Amino acid sequence: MRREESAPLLPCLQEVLAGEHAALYAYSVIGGRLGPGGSTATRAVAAYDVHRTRRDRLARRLHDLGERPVAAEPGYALPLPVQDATSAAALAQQVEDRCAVLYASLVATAPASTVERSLGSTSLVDAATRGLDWGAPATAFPGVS
Amino acid sequence: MSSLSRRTFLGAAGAVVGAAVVGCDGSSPTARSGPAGTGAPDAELVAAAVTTHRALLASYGGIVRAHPSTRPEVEVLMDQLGEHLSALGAPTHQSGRPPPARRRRPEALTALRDAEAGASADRVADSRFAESGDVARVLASVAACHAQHVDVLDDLLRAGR
Repeated sequence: MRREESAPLLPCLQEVLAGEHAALYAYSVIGGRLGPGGSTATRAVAAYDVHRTRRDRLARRLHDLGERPVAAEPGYALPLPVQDATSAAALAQQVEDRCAVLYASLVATAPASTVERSLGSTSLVDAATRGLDWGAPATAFPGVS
Repeated sequence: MSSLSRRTFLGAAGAVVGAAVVGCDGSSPTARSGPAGTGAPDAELVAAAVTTHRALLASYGGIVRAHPSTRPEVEVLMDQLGEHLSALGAPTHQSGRPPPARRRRPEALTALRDAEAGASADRVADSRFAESGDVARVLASVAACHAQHVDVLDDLLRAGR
């Protein structure tokens, strides 16, 4: 990718990476509060693994493009407390909804035929279906409006 | 404590969750106004999506006709496909009689499920090549919706209703 092509993409990749840091924090809270075992905890662990893989991929890509990947914050304010499986699912739905928005923006920002465009599309699909798994309804335009 | 911008979902205490979203590209994403600036190469991608939607809607019409018990769930999915057609700049009305669905309900639902899965894969692939970022975003979002439909249809199959 030429430098002029990557310039507008870099802040977007950093934003998506920041979102993945936050998603990992949320899923670690969900897993920690619910403890091991149970379908909700198992689902949270699976989601954590997916988000961690994407975080690492984004960080590597930014590094390859000559950027310093944004670091995770020491802590995040959760939009709602996780007390049980129901509140955990509600938080996870929000996490995936926001990830869908971030990846939809990555699709729009990344030039055609780039790995970033592909990453955006496949991750948007994943966020939409993962949100559904957590109990969110199907929507016509996940990540868009 | 983080002070991430509004686009992110876990921000500083007091951050408004659910406010309007602004994309990385600075735009306020909306699909309902249609994919702006559809150039000739992208027009082919949009046309392919429209063709798929028409076939899917016809199949859904057939399954509702043959298996009325599917109507509550299926109509929601059909409405969303109709929203896609509007966003893609195509008329939403269906003409003609829907094709016959498979006689057995599980087979009919499985055929639809597979068609939705194929549509999702096709739109993901097409979103990679769209020259317009806006078109790419709409196609990717449509792909995500198709994937959700696959899950809904799987649930219907498991429920056996």
